[in-house]
Amino acid sequence: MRANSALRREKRAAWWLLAPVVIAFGVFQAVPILLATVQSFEATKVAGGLGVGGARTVFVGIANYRAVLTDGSILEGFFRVFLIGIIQVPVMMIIAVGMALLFDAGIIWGRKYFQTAAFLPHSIPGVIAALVWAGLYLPQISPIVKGLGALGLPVNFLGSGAVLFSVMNIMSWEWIGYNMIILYAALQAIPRDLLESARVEGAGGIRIALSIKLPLIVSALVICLAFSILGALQQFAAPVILSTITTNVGSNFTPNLSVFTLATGNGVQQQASALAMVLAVVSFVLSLLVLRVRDRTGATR
Amino acid sequence: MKRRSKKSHALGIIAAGASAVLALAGCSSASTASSTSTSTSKAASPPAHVTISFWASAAGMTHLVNEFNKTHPNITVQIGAVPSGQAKYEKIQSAVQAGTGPDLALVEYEEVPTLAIAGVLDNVTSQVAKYKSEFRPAAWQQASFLGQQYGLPHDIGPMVMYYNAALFKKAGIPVPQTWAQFASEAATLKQKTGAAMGSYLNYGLFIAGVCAQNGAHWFGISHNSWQVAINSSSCKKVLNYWTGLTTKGYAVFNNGFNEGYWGDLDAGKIATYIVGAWGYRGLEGNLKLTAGDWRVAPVPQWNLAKPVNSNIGGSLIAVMKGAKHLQADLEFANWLTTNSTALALTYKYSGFYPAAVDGANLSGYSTPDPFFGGQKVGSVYAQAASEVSNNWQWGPVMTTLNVNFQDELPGSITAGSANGMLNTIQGQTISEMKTSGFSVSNG
Amino acid sequence: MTLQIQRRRSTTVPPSGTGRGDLGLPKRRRGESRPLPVVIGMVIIVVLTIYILFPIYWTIVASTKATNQLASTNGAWFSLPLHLLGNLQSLFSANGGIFVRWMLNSVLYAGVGGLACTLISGAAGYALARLRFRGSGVASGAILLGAMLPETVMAFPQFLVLTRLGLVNTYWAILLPSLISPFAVFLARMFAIQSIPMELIEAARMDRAGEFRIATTIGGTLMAPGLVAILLIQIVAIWNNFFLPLLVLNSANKLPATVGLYLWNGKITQNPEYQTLVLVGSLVSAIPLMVLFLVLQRYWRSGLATGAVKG
Repeated sequence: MRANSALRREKRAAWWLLAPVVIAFGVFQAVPILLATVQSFEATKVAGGLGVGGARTVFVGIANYRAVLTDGSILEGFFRVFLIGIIQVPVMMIIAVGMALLFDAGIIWGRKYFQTAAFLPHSIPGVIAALVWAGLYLPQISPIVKGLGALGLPVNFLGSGAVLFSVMNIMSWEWIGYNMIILYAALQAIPRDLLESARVEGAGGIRIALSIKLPLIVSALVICLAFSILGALQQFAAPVILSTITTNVGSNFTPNLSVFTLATGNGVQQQASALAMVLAVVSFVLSLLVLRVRDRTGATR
Repeated sequence: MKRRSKKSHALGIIAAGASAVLALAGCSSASTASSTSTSTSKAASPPAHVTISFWASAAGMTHLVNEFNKTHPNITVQIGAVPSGQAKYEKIQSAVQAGTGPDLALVEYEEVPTLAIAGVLDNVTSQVAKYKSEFRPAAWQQASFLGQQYGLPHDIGPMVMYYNAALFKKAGIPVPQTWAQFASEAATLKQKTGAAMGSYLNYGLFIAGVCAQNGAHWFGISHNSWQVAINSSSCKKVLNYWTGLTTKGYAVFNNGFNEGYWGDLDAGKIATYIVGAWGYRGLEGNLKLTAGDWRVAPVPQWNLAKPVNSNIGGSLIAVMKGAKHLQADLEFANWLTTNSTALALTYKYSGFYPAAVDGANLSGYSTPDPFFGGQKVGSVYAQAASEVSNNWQWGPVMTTLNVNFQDELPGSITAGSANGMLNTIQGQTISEMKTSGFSVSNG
Repeated sequence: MTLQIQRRRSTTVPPSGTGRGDLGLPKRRRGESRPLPVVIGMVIIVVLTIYILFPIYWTIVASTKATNQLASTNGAWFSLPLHLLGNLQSLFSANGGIFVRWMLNSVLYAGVGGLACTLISGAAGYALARLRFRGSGVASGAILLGAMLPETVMAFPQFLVLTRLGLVNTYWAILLPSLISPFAVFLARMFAIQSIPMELIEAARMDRAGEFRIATTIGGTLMAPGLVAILLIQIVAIWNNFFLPLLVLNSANKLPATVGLYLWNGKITQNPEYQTLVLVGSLVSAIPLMVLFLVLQRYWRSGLATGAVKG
């Protein structure tokens, strides 16, 4: 009886606390998502031969989905994200883990200053970070290209083969520090007595790092990995900015750029919605997978 | 077209439909931003004071609007913020259809059919007829679609050739008058100085301009049907010409308009820059080492006996559906495009070449320009403008077409031929237009 | 505060042991380590730091130059005379000083929007994590899905909704949509799970404290570091907000700095003076965020740590 009324109180409080988010979510997320979903099954047809006879919206089933999923250049964009996922993300994570382990090992003088420096890029807006790197890639003004050239190492960051790596570099630059901080925090949470006993048993610093510390921060690692891959799917600023300075970044460089291209193109707005839905589903499935993996690893904690 | 009617559908009749109806009745109140909703009716008597909104992304427009507001106490023009590039038209369409659009917008000629079909533009044919004689005929034609006028022409982009006279002198070559000379001198220039002769710009308007100069017509209208001829032999000839120059190193393939490109021009790596007359602003502002070495010459011709020019860029002040104060709107548009103070400010802040006939007489164009070694550039521009033919028709899918070109051009250079690219784009364009419900045939 | 939470958490999750109050340990170990690892470690860190800081340094150098000096001077070093003051002056006076307005707008959008979003996300996260009610699973799932949609897509349908609400070209058009961040709710829920022991809530209930009082005092206090982290993440997100302002704001004087700079960037073709303005403006617009992160380091570090450690 008393427990019942307590439960009711709890429920009422829960909904009051949730109300602002539920309302805002409904108006500014759910309704727009619904609109976009409906749109993804529609197309607009003009009439009158030249198009001036008015237009009507028709239901086209999955035609928009078929159109975007059979478009070779859009699929190439997904493939680029896959490449980013298997090249940039691991490299960035290795660097971030390495930095975090070094900081955690306590052998770095001025740790706080270095950590702060590493985090700075994350506070710079993506568009601006891309603009800055664009300047560093442009052979005509980049001190890096000029410097390497003077050393007899001609490089072209904007060549057709290299430009994907240049995009990867911008992403890494923005996120290394962020990941490092998270991983460092996870490392700091490892009970010191555990490490001390390993040390007493004669394990070296590198061995402790690899066989004791790393397994203990798998959970944090998985989270960082997941966000990095999701970030790659939605990568937009870097390719857009680079496309103004090189002819090697097309309008479908990443899936999110394809969404923009379709949304601003002629008569393909609804395909943009369809592709966005695909992106959302892919991201959602990925996130669920990650949560599953994390729960499993978390259980062994 | 499809996009916008779809949107207004999704939006519901209330916002778009109702405001369109109200606009037709001449008393829409909801169609602009809160600040502009003060006055109500133009149908009765001209209101004492009106506020009109004008969307433009062009440089220097704020100065022009301030000047107009200062000298026209009865009209207040509010300038709106729009991006440049492809996102701009997306925004204009969405806003007009949602009933939150402006009265006027600066719109590039190539978007006129798209926007007119979408019902975004207001047909003002009868209201603007009296201004016709003030503008160049080719520009007037570009501000229309199917014989209906949608505003007043603002600027044009007749092609000219900017060239580095010091490099020419070093290589001992004359200024080329034909494309054949341009190509043969390119070999000499490359051999003597290592510089590339030309710039092959990965830029839709450049591609359209050079194709049009050789008599290509990407789009035509016949028997209530669109004719598409992007892969015509005249277009293939031009783009293969540029592809050939590029693969031999005689031309540099670049997006243009970035620090890298300006750096190459300034370092004497590229000897010419073929672009609309408006292009000198970029040169003057970005080049430092070679300032004074540059000159302007007429664009080379395919047939010197019959010189032809075409536009790279250009725009109109378009009247938007739902514009509330047509009289004031057109007064402002006419001031902006023909008033001598306005043209002088345009010259100063953006360098757009005026569509108005009188624009050629601006003092700036007849003053010796130190960047061009003291050359008076106006006569070259005026000649170029007078040679633009007025039979170029833009299509209803230019945004997508431009993106397709930018995506395909790099591959065409690797392939060494533009034929495959042009055939692909021709096919894509026709199939996209058919899907959208247009009647289309190979032109 | 941080230590207190660590201790509390250790009561909920016994296996995680002693916590990490023993901060002296790393120092002790540094003393023990041999010089070689220290040298190698320092070299690695210094090299990476140069990589990370060089672009920022280059931006500062570039912002001291005139437009047409970018290609013709040594990009890695300053060229005399410095044009920084002149550049700053042009930045702050261009178009009637509108850049200042844009910065203030950004501060308003990010500050107010971020704060409001953090508060309501915190409340929702607490409710989802620590209160029993039917529908909490569905709500969590819907929010996770919402976090997955790219901004490029959401902007247009949001524009339609805002049009219907009559909010286009008002400050509300940016502030209201920024209230909701599914990601922030997701994080808040996680922070609540980790930092608020159920036992504490039960104990408070025993003391006949009301649910809201428990939520604000216990929940609010224990979640505070996490909330600061959310606030910072939201401020950055809103500061970077791009498509929505581009679509729903029509007056230049309502734009946030990032979008304003983007519009200036589009004018470079016709008026190269904007190039310097964009470059210097980018630098100036990034400063508030950098300062904020530096000042609030302590808080977001512990916040992120909470999220990562037991997430």
